Amino acid sequence: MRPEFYSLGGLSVASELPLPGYSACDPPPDEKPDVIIRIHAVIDALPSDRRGVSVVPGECRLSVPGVGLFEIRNGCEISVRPVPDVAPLALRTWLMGAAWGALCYQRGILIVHASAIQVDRRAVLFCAPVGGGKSTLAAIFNRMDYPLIADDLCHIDIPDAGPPLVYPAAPALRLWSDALRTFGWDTRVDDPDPFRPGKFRVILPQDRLLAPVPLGAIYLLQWGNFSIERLSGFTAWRRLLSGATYRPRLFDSIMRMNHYFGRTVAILQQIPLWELRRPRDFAAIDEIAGRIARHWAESHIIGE
Amino acid sequence: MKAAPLDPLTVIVRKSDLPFVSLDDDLLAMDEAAGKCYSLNASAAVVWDAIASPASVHSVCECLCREFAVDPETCLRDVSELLVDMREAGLIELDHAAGA
Repeated sequence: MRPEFYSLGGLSVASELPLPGYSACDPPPDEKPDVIIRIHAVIDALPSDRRGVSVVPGECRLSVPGVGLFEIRNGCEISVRPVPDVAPLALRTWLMGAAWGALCYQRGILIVHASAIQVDRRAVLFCAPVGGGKSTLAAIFNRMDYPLIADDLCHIDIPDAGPPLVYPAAPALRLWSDALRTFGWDTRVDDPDPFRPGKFRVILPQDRLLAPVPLGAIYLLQWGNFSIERLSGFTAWRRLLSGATYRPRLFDSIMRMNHYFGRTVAILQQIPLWELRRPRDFAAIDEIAGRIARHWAESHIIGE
Repeated sequence: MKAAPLDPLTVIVRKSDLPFVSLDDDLLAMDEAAGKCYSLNASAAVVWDAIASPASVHSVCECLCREFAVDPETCLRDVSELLVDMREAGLIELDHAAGA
């Protein structure tokens, strides 16, 4: 099967499974991509009826009932064995979510569980676990003309000099149907989320970002009365680990802690980390966004 | 109950060569093999810097009294508690014989 080529998180990817919405690119000059995604024949029976992860050095096997078996090797190959009649979207969701996350951890790449928007040429990250409201907050800011950089999984590169960089991903968000209606984006719905009924992927009305964006600030989202508190030192590092790790079980099994430690400390030495509490009140979200935007000015994230 | 203050002539020797990095006021180090992350706050960081080469409890207290507004008696008590914690964490050894 002839692959298609994409640029993702600074890596060149040749994928036998088409990845609509992701940034297509020309094949690398030597035709040797950083990552190859192969689709194999269907697998009739998975190792177990339950979702499972097994990890040995250099290889991670991810078994997802109703979807398929993903084998991620040495940070450079993902082999996919779909179950019969799996929906392509379900396959892509797991491929570009957990399987891609496992590959990043094998390569020692720092990924965080966050939505990122661009504010005055800087990336602002909103980190939260599933259901923490990061995509909704990113959607509100996108309506205020702040471009989306990435949703759910953010790749961060730490160059030898200069600030950390956040790589742009597909300009798409996953939102609940009531949020889509409120934003008037019902007609932009691309795909229903195969695993969360009532949630949909929406392609945003913005130009695709191509270049990585210098990181400006990180917010850890919490529910509560509105407050923004700067975290520092060991507290900041520990809270980033607990509040922004993408798929903690995969992380614990694969990522070398020394890599993670070195990279996250390097980020926190340059970039402020804030704990942002806001009420769980969708009706107040415009007011909340306004207060956050004022915080960018007060803390000099914008205007420098 | 808090332990008695250490003999000021006790010598402190670093046992760990973990590279500590500074983050705001703290010093942090990761020991991947042991699965531990060490965090030293501002005053513990002064102690760690002061024992880059073996040093007595007395000289460490002198450093701290210069850096922070603390009386010598309180300083000796707090430093003793910290040093016992650091020894239990495997970061230092305390050579009591040096003060004998």
